[in-house]
Formats: sequence, structure tokens, C-alpha cells
Amino acid sequence: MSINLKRFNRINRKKIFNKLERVDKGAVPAIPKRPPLLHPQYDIESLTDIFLSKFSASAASFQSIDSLTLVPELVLQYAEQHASDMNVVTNISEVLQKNEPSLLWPEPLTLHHGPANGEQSIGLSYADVGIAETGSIVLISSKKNPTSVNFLPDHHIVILNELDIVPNIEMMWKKLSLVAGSMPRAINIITGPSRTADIEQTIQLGAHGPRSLHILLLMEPA
Amino acid sequence: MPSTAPHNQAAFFRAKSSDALLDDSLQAALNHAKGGFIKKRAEAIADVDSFESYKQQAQLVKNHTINNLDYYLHLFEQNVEKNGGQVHWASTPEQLNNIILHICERRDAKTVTKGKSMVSEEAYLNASLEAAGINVTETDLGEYIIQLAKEPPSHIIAPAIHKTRQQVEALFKEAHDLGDRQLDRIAELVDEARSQLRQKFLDADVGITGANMLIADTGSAMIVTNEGNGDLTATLPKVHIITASIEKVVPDLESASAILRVLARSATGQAITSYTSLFSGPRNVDDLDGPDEFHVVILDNQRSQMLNGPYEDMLKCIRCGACLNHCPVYSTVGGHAYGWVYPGPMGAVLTPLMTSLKQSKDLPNASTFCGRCEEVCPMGIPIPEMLRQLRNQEHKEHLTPLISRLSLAAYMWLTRHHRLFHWATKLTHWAIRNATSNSIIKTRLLKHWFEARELPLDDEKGTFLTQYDKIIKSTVKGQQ
Ligand code: SF4
Repeated sequence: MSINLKRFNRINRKKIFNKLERVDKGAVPAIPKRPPLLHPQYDIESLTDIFLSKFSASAASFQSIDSLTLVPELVLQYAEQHASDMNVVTNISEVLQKNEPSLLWPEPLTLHHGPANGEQSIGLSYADVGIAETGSIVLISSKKNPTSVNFLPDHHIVILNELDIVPNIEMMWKKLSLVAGSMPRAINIITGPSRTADIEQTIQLGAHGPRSLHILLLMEPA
Repeated sequence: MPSTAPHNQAAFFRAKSSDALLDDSLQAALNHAKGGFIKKRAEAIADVDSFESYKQQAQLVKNHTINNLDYYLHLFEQNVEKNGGQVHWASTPEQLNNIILHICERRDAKTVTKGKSMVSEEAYLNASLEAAGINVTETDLGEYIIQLAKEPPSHIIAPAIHKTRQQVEALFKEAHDLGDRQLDRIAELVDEARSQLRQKFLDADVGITGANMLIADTGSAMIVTNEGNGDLTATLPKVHIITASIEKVVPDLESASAILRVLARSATGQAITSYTSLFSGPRNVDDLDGPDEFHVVILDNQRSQMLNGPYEDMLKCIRCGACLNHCPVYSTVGGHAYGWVYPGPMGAVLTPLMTSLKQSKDLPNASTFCGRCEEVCPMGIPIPEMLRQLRNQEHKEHLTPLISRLSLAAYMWLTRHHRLFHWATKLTHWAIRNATSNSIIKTRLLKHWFEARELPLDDEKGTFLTQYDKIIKSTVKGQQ
């Protein structure tokens, strides 16, 4: 079968758009203005608390840390307790090393860089934003956060800086200041591990994505 | 082998619903599901300060968008192109299939993984890809189960809700090489699907997903899932194709946020699903993964006909499934009885409008008009009113049986002749009273009917009109 996709497209497009013209179009301005919308408001002082309380509903776990130097040791501990092997896929070691050049990854952890390919039990990422309203972390696809790391490994460990938590979903978009033409390919708002209730409505974690989500919450020492 | 029924079977609603009532496993599955969604939704709504105000914001967005659909679709198209993707337009389901086949063949695709897409169900896309020799795997667990069972989905967000775990186990045993492994726990079943589908994700040439929203301002598709299958489908293959329909567009991310707030709460009773993802094009130069082609195929399939007409509000539907979960008819007969991809109250409106009223004339009548669908609909869509209008249209187009049209005409005539009507109601009252007190009628002739129902009639008071007359007489007397 061969169709001229471009031509086909032009004809269909015209057909559809002809029907979309409103009968009362005269009253509508050329560039419509969306009505202003209300957003739920949260107390800026207690964002971390709100984040943690919402987050606990999502079956994810967390640990607070006061320095990134702790990360390798905590990843090892987590792997020993939960993972079936010591393979970690991550692309943030440079970020961690920037803060702590002598950072060492303890044996027997083996670090892999690049996208995940299903061979690593643990993915380690650095969240771009946290959302208090929903207890979610947000990961933007980039060299530092290839999307496959968020979904292929059995366990996902994510570092989130307390200062990156915003009150609501809208503030998250605002913080990312996204513009068509220079969009990241993927933005994942992640709230807890993968789950399904497709068999007898019984919630089961670890459907296709990670079986567990563990947050290392970086809190600045008071 | 096509994985969904090849054509619309809405004409068989009566037969299918009778069968459904006698199907023990279906009734067991439906009974099990009953109330689960309802309870979770109620809890999620109670958990926020004002769900009503969330609904209002979401409706503001949809009303505004539906009034400016052409503008926002155009903007969306422009911005997808800016991001390096392509938008394709399909008036009919066949065209959607042709476009997708064309893209697959150009890349010489042999295997396709699919995330959940109701739009692709409208087009029976799987059957058309399979006919072209392409291997299609549904990756949403529910969709995977019904693909193995060669059945269409029976619920728009829980496609395999009609299956018991024993049935799922049997399907997996037949399709997978299990040796003597047992799969009697749900956790084992989920794990089995996880391991079977892993390799499919990694091997697929093309990934096809649906979209919950299209964001005009950024040229993105938003996909909401719990399993993560949509994200794997959108990330691992070389080509990502999104199937969507014209009413999925929203102005911007702020608008999308307002809809997100009501979507998961209405659907699964979650504040937000595990994964809410925004896909905006092919991989960027320094990305380490992601597809190198990004296509959005936008289907009309009769939707543009609904604009400017009595059924326009239906375009605001966000496919949350709340109306299905709360419908007494749906939860008794299940989704398959409705015969097409959209079941329950929203399906009873959509199927006649998108296929043919003549072929689906029973669907608008498959309602008790209890009004729960409208009550729980986050978009406030007046479904009962639309069903009433469809019934009206059926009557006008003579799609209803002659006998019911004649009876209605006779009734109309009778109501216009007061004395005769009075007399007829008295006669009926007498007949019913006799039936309820007459043990032969009650225990023999209409035995089954009376087993399930009562007819409480007050002997003293008489018919409505008798009582009415009495009241009028006494007030007139009182005034004198
Ligand atoms: S009609 Fe309303 S309740 Fe039903 S699926 Fe659509 S949005 Fe949800």
C-alpha cells in the first residue's frame, strides 16, 4: 500500500478544519484568551512537610540526607536490601563529583553510564523539581537524565533537593519555563512506584516500571 | 487474528445483556469490582478542600477550548512541527490506520508495542496492523489480557475488569510457556506479564500510545498511566506514534493541570497517577535515548459533527470512566453488552453519534435515568438529557418498534380526553389491585415478576386523579 502522505494529510486536514468553524465564530477574537484559572495554594513555609505527607500515600520511601557525599553509601545499602544485583545505571556522578571531587563508589556497586538497557537493577537520578501538592518528583530528559533510567531498572533512587520543591503543578511548569521549539523530549512527573490494578482491582506494585521508588531528600543543614 | 471484534455489535445489546446476566464468571467479576472504584473516588474527593472548584476550573478550560477548537488544533500542529514532530489528520478510522501503516512500512517495522489508546480501538488498528504482517503487543496489563483473550475492552480505564484472576491465569497458561510454575496469586500474574513484556518493549520497532491531552502551547502530548508501560513504549522504539482525537487538545500546561486535578480522582480515586508524562517530539541532539521520529495522528471520526449541536457537551469528556463505575446498568451487564468500544452512559451517547443510531438504538434506552452519571461526571456533561434527546430522535426517525409508537400515540390521545382518562386509570387501578390480591396471578401467572417487585397500592386513596379531585373539592369547600 502506498499513499502520498502529504497530499492525504492536506485533504483530510482541510475537511476537518472546515467542519470546526463555529457558526457563531464572528464573536470570537482571532487569538482567543483563556479564562484565568485558580490553583490550590499552599503555605510556602511548610512545602517539605506537605510534600512528605502527600508522598507517603504513593507507596514510595524516603531518607533525608544533609550532604551528597552520603549518596554512594546509601545506594549500596539500598541495593543490599532490595536489589537482585549491584548494577547501577546513572548519569549524575559528575554532578555529585562537582560537590565532592573525591567521591568514591563502594564495592561491589558497578556503575553504568548512558541509557538503561534492562540489565541494571538500580537507576539513580537527580530530580529537577518536586511538587508538594502531589508528592511527585519531576525528571526532564537530558544527558543527565535519560528517560529509560526512570523506567527500566527494578528500583529507582532519586535525589531531590528540598529547595527544588514547588507548591503546585502549575508552579512546576512555570519553573521549567517551557517553550515550543526548545522542549525537552520527555518530562516525567513521577508519584510512587509503578503499579496496576488491572487484575481484580487489586493494587500490585511493579507492573512495568520500577517496583520501588526511593527518594533521598537533600535538606540543607539548619 | 484480529484482537478485537471486527465490527460494531451495538445492535445486539438486548441479547448480549441477557447473556451477561447469566454469565457466572462475568457476574463474579462485576460483583468483585462493584463499589471499588466508587469508594476510592469518594475518598479522593473528600480528601481535597473543594472538588467542586476543581471541577469548575476544569470545565472552564474545556468550554473555552471547545469554543476555539480550530485555533488550538492549528496552534498544536504548528508547535509539534517546531519541536521536530509531525501531525497527521484522519477524518475516518480507516484513514488513521492507513497513516499509521504507512509510517510503519516506511521504517520497515516488524513489531509494534502499544500503550492504551481508545482511539486505536475505534479504528481496530491492531487488526489492520496484523493484517499487514506486523506483530502488535498491547502492553497495558489489562489490554494485554484481553488481547490474549481476543476480546475488546469492557471498560475505558480497566479493560479487563470483566475477567477473574482464574481466567487470567488460564490465559497466561495457554499463551506462555510456564512449565509447572503456578500463577495463582495476583502478584505472580503481574510478574509473569512483566517478564513476558520486557523483551517486547526492548525489541519493538515502533511504539504507539494514546494521549490524555494535547497541549497546544508547547506542542506536547500528555500521557497518564500507572504502570509505566506508556513511557517505555514512548521511549525505547525508534518511532513514537501518538493516536489522539480532535477534542483532546487544551490551550496550555496550566489548563492541563486543572484537568489533571479531576482526572485521576474521578477515574481511579488517586490524587495523581504514578506517571504523568509529557512527550514533545523526537530525541534532542544530546539525548541518550528516545525515538528519532515523533508522529501525532489526530482522528475526527464524527466528532466535528457534534460541534454546534445538541451533543456538543460530549466533546468535553475526558474518558475518566466515573459514569461507567456509577451506572447501575453498566455494573449489571458489563461493558461488552454495549457492543462497541465505549460502554456505559458515555458510550450510550457516543456509540449512536459515532456509528449509527439505527444500529445502536437500544443503547439510549439502556438507562434508568437515575442521573448518577451526570452527578459524578467531572465535566458536568448532561448525559441523561442527551440520552433523552436520542430517544426522541429514535421516535422521530421511526427507529422504535411500531407497537411502542402506537401505544404512545394512544396514550397521548387518552390523556387529552379527561373523562376517558379518568375512567381508564380507575380501571387499571382496579386491575392491578386485583392482581396483587389475587393469589393465582401472584403465585402462578406473574410469579417471576412478583418475586422481584412489589406494587404497593393504597385501596382507600384510589388513583392519583381521584385523590386530586378530592383535594380540589375540599379546598374549594374550604374557600366557600
Ligand atoms: S462522560 Fe464524564 S464521567 Fe463519563 S467518562 Fe466522560 S468525563 Fe468521565
